[in-house]
Amino acid sequence: MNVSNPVSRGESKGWFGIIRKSVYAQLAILFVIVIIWPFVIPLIGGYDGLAIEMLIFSIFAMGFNVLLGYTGILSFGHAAFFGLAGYAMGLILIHMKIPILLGMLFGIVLSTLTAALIGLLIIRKTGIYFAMLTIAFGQMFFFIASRWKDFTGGEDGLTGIPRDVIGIPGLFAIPIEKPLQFYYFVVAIFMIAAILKYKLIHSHFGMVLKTIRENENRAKMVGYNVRQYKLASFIIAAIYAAVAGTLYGLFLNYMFPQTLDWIRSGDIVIMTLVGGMGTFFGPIIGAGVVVALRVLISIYAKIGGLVFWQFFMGIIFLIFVLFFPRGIWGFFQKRE
Amino acid sequence: MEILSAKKVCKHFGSLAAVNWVDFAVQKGELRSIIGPNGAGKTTFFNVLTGMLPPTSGEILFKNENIAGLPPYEVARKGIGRSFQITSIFPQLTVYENLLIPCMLYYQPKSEAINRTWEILEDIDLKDKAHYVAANLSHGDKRHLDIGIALTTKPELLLLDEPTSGMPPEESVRTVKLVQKLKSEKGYTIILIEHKMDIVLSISDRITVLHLGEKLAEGTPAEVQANEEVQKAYLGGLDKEYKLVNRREGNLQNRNGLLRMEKVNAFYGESHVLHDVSLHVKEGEIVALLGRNGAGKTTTLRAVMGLTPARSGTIQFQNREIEALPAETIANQGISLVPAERRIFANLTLAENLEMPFFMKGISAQERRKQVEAFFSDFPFLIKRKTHKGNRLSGGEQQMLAVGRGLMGHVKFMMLDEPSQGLAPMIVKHLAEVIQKINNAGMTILLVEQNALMALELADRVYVMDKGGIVYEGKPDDLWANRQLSQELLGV
Repeated sequence: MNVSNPVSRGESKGWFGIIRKSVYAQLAILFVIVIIWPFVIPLIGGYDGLAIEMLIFSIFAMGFNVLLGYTGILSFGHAAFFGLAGYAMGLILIHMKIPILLGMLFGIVLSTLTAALIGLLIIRKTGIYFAMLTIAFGQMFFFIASRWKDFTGGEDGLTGIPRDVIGIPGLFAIPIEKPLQFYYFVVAIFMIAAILKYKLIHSHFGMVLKTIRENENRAKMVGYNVRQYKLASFIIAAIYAAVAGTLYGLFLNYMFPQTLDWIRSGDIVIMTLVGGMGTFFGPIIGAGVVVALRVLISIYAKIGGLVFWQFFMGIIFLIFVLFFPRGIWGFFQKRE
Repeated sequence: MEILSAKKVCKHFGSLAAVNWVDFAVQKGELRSIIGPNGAGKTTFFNVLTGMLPPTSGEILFKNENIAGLPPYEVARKGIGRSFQITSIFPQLTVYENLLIPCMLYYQPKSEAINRTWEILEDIDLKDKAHYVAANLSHGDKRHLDIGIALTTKPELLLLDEPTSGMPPEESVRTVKLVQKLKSEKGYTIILIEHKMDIVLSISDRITVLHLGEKLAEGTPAEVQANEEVQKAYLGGLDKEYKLVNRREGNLQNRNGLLRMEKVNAFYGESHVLHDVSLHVKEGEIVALLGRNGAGKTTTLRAVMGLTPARSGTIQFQNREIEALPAETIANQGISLVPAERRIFANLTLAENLEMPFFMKGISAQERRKQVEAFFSDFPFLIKRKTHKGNRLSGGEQQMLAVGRGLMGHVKFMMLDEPSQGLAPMIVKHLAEVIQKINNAGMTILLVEQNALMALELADRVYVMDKGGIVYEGKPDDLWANRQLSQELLGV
């Protein structure tokens, strides 16, 4: 009786089999790809900036998947936590000249606390009502950012977010000014985020989230305080969104109101779906693919000189929902 | 020692008193059954005991501590475990995970939880299916898994809501053995809701009878059985055989054929479910389709309806080939299916549910009123539930509504999938009479039933399925008379 490995994955042979079986091997491959990515991406018409953006949204989608894929809760408001963190970091860096890491921490903590507060208020609602409430809260922040011109820069956005070095003054300083330097800073955070998420979904906590997704009432009836777990899942997704948001602000040296919009939240839902909900690698791939397609389509697929990427994205999304409902990763994964 | 004592418990939904001033006490180690007609408040009472619904008033003492109004997760942690009338498992997780994850809350370290999981797997007889995805289990195994999940929480008191629902006799036996083992070997105190009277009478220490939300009687099986009020309200003077009044004899030889299936094969994805199924139904007949769980009965009905289209073979209805038509076109030809899972619209009222088929079929308002009235005259006890939403109806009421809804519109041919499931004995008898009545009025019926007694009593002809094929065709009396055959095919 094989107790330690409850899920048998069928027989696989050779090195391919080892990769199939070992998630650590898969993680290692992912990290290698991420590290060499800037040298590969020019081959498909991309550039360093695109690689950075792909990775940032992978972090966002990875966390969002905890909420959507593992807990089964649909939120259209997590872009608010992404944007809020970016703005908060940007404002404090512009006005107070503190080290970048500290500024990021400020943005992330503020955004997380906000998520906790909002989550506490709305987590008792389910399904469509919950989704509508997340839109409502998200749009609140969107309007603050776009209308409070003196503070946030309004529709013009918040410009001049510095990105020079990270480190502790007097101890060490690593430059992140050049795109490639910044890329590897994002890689470091991406790896930490991925490993933490892997640990999380394989912990007792992560397993309980899955039981909530499968049957919320039964999860209650076996003794789990479902609401607490849902709230925690909501906040975790917000933390990942916030981390991605601060990186995005640093990347562009700039934040703009549309980063908080519920349409951006919808993008994350699409990325998660396209990659494969409820799988570890799916959203990472989904985010990368969607971001890359958007940029590449904008560059190459112009109709009469106009950019129609939404049109092509719509078609691609349609194809996925109709023919690959389990997403890219789900499609390649063997059914157990 | 009293482990549970409920005092003056009420649960009201608006003007409906689902549970009304119920006093209820259970001794440690006891096996108590709760019986009562459909809509008596049995499941609501369980929901109140387990914190799913807060009581309107009253006190619930569990080990001398008032637990009334506590949230369900706290009730569970105090030691009350529960299984569900409608199977409640974690469908996309493996059987093993279904048990392990709840175990981890009560057993630390993880190795303890793993040991406990294997113990439960052994008890519920699912050890060799530990790595199955739960959704792929058979109905009976799912019911056992549901009980298994209730065992993960270190319960002292176990509430089982119709554990044998939807099971054929030989599977029920397996479940009853499990319940007895849980009581005598494992020492659980058990409260059981069950409709099958032979089971209730043979395994209970005491029985409580609920009727219209109130306690009607309580006592040993013998006392309850002898109680006249119980006889009247629940058992309906039932002798075990369903002797119907106007048992019609033969005389169907010359009728025209209505439905004919020839060598139909059907698949769920890759798995081949129906193998060359051929059967026919003549106008005005009641044909019973029997067999064990997983024999392919429901799939046969789904194939006729176009829900699981036949991959090969022909299906003719009134001499027209229908096997390639979509389900809604088939429905418009006058075929209706009452599925076992009922499919009541949860947010529509009982009356709205009933009228739903008319919106699609363009039938006059007069005709609609006439048919709805006919329904309420067949099921008069549902009149007062007319304006209640679907999800507020009890399991049995939903079942009656599903049958009634299947009758609405210009239906010539009705397929019923386990209509007696979840119904109290008196109502089963009543339902049998209604089926016979609508048949006499001209309806042709194909009936899938676990309740072989009822089906054999009603049917003109009977088919038995096994492993996706037809293995017997004949008269009910012949099958009934051949004890060895009926034992082998049906387990009765």
